[in-house]
Amino acid sequence: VKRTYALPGRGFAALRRGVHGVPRAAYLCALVGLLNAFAWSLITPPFEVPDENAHYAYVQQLAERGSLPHYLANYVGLSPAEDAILADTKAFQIPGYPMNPAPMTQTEQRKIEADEARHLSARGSGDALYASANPPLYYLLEVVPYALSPSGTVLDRLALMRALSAIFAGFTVLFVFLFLRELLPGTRWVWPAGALAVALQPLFAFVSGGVNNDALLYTFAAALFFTLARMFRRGLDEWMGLAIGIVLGLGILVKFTMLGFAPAVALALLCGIWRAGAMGRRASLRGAAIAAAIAAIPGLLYAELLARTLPASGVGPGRSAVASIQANLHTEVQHIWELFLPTLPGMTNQFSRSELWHEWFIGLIGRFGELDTSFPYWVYLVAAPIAVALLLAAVAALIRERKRLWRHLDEFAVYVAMVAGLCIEIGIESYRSLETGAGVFEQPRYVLPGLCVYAAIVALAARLPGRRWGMAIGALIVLLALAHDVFSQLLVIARYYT
Amino acid sequence: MTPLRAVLAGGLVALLCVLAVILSDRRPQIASTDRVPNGQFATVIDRDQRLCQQGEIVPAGTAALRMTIGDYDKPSPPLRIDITKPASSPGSRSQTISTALIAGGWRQGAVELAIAPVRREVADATVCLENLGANPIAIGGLSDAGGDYGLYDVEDGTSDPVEVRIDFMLKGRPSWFAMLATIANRMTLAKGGYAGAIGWAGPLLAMLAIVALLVRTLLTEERRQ
Repeated sequence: VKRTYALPGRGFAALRRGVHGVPRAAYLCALVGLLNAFAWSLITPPFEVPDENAHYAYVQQLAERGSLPHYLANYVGLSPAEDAILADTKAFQIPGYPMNPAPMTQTEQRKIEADEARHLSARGSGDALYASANPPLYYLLEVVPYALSPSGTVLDRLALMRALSAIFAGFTVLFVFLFLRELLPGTRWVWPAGALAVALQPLFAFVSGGVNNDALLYTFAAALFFTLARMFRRGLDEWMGLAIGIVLGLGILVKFTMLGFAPAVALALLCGIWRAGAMGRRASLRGAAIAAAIAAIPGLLYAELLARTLPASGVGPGRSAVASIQANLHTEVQHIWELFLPTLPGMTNQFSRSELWHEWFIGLIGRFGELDTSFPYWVYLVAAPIAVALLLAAVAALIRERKRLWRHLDEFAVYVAMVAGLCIEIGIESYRSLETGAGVFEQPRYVLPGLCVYAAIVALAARLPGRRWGMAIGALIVLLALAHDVFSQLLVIARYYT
Repeated sequence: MTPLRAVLAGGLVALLCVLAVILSDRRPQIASTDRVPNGQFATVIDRDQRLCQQGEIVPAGTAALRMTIGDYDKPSPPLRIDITKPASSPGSRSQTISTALIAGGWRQGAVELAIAPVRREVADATVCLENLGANPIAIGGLSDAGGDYGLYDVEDGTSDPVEVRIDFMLKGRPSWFAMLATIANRMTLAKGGYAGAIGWAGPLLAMLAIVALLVRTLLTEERRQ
């Protein structure tokens, strides 16, 4: 990797050059990601992506009343239009009951059509259930397809909103590709391998094929990995600081999970200042200051908006009951550790099973719908050695190139810090959710903001055997990802339509 | 042939072969279900008692009912099934959709009870199960559903708050290949105008395009090296 600290060209001219310089393969990979998420959006029945009814209600509230939703302690429904379709599509009879399929008779279809034709009110209670606590950026964007739907029916609006999420999936894959290009600039054949592995990751496509703010969170997370990698290649200046600040700041407005990356971004900015040396010190300091300021602005504006619009009583958006508990720090640290890693001697067991295997590995290989659709257990046993082989190959590639890794140790530390920050953020939510009696919080989709790391593992594994065989290995990984995706789709089709 | 091309060709052929094997698998398939959870025995039908569940949608092609039935480890009794459509107006008679007499000796658990095939979908049907034997049977469902699933139960003329699960089964054990048209049709339902119109074709075309795109991307990258 050529180490260069030359300042990039200024402003929008550099941006234009950058866009023109994006390889055609990046767009093709992005198209694969978009198409895959779109296919999933058509396969998955309405309101069977986690919390989709709540996310839809958030958009509905923004579009119909122009205000943020607020969580109501007592459930009084969402809106007459949405409630009717939730009942007609059996949205509450299917989740948790794998034997219960989606509607499959003409009588049920006619009931849905009749209720859609009644054009019931879409103005609801203002409640968006679990989604009420989320910041609004994703939902504001989803207002566009919601409002543009010519028919104005719930299911047509939902379909168009899902399509927008699928477009976000395409951008996610594009940023993953660009991240790999920055990370491994000398081995271009691994860029599409890593990006396609992400594009065909079924859980990613399933979530991105639904109305869920995680779809845009993944995009901003991948964009953040890309901008930081670019900073490490091109140096930190005002424009780079601006880009990092915008991505982090807007990402926080999509979902607070992005806050888990904030410490790693701070570390990256420090590395950028340190790397700039005396010559670029002023520009890098300005860049870091801009990044911090820009990242903070959206969050502060949202906090101000909340302060102005929160109801006088009750829990409103952005406020969560879990924030107020008195946590036992020692237990909480153990909980976070054991949520992802094996229990160490001296630790108390926080879980009755290995979460690394049961929650994260099995979940990432495939647990769809409202977490009620899984492969037969042997599939996970077959997948495990493949995953371990990939991981070992990636580690071997790093060891082989340890001198280069040593030169980029600070960058490597930043990526590790990003993953750690994400895990700690999930762990804190998980612990506090249990402590307050809110139930189990963690779901495998929560680690998908780390998709760039997943892609990097694939890319490193494909890079290990050299160009000739590396390309074949990369293609093999992509085909395995394709098979994984296709069989996951068949699993979901069998779950809901037979 | 380069290693990349060999992997691509071999991989895609292998994927198609596995798909063909999976799609040729046969198993009992439902025509529809009332979706009542059957995690418990909801009610008992004693000797000569008759349980009727109103409000069922009986789909076309139904050739058997699958119910969770317990026999208390005693000889399982003969049963009678009547599926009727209620009278459409006062004075008119209810219409029989299908009937069956099931001999005793079936094995408790999820039991498939063969009936005369139903040709046309019937909404708001009443499904009755009568115990013709000496021993009682227990039926899986919800004991205190109270109409949560849109069904209304009557046992020997008395209203009962239970709802029992009934799966309406297709004939035989069709393969996935044989089910393709049925599944494709189901994928267009309950999705609205846009998604419903491309319910099965959309995903199929998208996945074919994906295969073409990824092959092209990988081969282009190979040529660039």
